[in-house]
Amino acid sequence: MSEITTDVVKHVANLARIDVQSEEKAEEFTKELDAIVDYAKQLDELPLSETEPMFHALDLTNVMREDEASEPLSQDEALSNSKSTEDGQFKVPKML
Amino acid sequence: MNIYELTVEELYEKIAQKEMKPSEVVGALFEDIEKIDDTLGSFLFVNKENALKQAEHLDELQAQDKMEGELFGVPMGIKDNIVTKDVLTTCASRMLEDFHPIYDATVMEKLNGESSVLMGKNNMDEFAMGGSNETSYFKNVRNPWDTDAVPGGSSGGSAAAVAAGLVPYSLGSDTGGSVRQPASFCGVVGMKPTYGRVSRYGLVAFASSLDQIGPITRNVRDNAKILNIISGTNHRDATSMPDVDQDFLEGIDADLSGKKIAVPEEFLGEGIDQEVTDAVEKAIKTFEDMGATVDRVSFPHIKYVVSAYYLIASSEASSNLARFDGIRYGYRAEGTKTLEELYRKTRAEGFGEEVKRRILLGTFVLSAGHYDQYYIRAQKLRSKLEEDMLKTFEDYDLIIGPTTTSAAYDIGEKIDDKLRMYKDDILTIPANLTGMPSISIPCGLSGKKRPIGLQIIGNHFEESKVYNAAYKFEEKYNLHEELKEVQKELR
Repeated sequence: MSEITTDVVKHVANLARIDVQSEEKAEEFTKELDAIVDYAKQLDELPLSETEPMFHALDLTNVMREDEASEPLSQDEALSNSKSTEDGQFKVPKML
Repeated sequence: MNIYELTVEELYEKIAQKEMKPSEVVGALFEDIEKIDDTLGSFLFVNKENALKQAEHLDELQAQDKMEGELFGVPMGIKDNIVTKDVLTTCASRMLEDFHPIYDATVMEKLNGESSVLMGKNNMDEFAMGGSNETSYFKNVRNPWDTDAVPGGSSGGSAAAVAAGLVPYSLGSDTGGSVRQPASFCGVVGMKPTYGRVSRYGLVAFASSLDQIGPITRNVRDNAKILNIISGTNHRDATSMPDVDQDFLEGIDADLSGKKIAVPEEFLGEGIDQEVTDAVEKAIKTFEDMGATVDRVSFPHIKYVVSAYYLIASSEASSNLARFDGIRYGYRAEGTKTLEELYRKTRAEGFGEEVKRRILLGTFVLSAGHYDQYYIRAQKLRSKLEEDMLKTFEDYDLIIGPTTTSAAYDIGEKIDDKLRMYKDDILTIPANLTGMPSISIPCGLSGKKRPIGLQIIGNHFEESKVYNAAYKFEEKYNLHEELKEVQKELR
């Protein structure tokens, strides 16, 4: 058994800001995630303590560009895909 | 001669020679799309009005002998996770059902710059998460070879449209096999270039350290030609590598004698269908007949790659998809009273189940107490795998094997067993984890007459070697005639 329980799923869904919607769904996700995490435990059998993690496929260095001003997006464009705007701003429900 | 059978190079030639007008080509393919895409479902949006207008303009330029661009008048399909200015881009998700991008992806700027004509946006698995195109919010895609079968995924619409002759080429994206696996299932050619070869600017991010855009075509030369055009560095993507100004068509027909090829024994062992193994063994023989040496090697870490991939890709996805909050673009839930509630409801209603599953998995993996155990171990496995593969490339030019564990399966056959579907990606994942280029080309047909794909993997930035081997193999074996039958049958 892995450590995935419905409580873990609900906690993680809360962190990800996704409503689980129903107890039934929570249980479904629990079962599926449990199977995947359980399978991934196979990595535990490998001796990896001396190995460096590889976060990226390429050796990358910072690439700098000239700090030159260019034409930005217009306000209209930036707001054009939003469902709710007012006075040139994104409009959201109250925060508190 | 049928327009739908013509390749990128043939269409370009015929238009350049004024044997055909761009509007004739574009018009004929729209007729085909209207006739058969209700069945196939390979397009989510058909860009007819814009494309016809552009084609008429190109007709005028043709008449005035002012044809410019290496793809002048050649139609294209584009996977719906690549943004196209003012043209609907949904990622096959309810979340972006009415999203009209305000800019073009770099690859679109390049293709538009060569006067290619955008025919529409290709269906896909939602946010590129899936291997059968069954997670699309809008509709399934059917395999042109057998409409009971899946086309593969996530670039299933792209592969199906190219195979069916609705477009001569399409772009897909490949995070764990999403260009190569559908290319294999649909009997066409799909390339995942080296990570960093093609700018990802304007590709809706799934797993940023793995994602790469690649061409899907009906033959190897067309594929190399499209990659020539879309590759190159770009200041908007800091992970795109500096231009090396390579022409992938140069030396594509070079002799293979003396080339050294490795076949990982794990690629032909347990879990691979016998008919796939048989087709690949035949392909190995073909390479030997062409003068290449083929040896068996072992990659002991292959059996861990599915675990590592799903931990890493889901982690990156959970972070990348945090941007879909209902505020600046995309779906917004109705009737919410607080900002918190808006986020939670928007994301619950806007994302499909597979996307949520992966966000939850990724959030779990990155959460306190699990990061070292899962995420770091997965990244360490990645180092081990790269070590194995780089060592092989010290002695060998290429690695070959099957693209998939089986030919295309039936729609509905596997969708309920998530882990089983994940495990199917074992053969394509290594190239993503290591960033190496890899192509899928047809190498056989299954008993049910469904295509089988051969995968050819090269070392970093050695696409030329990959294309060379693929082209020489294609001269000996291809499905071009069979595909024409499939296309005729559909019409």
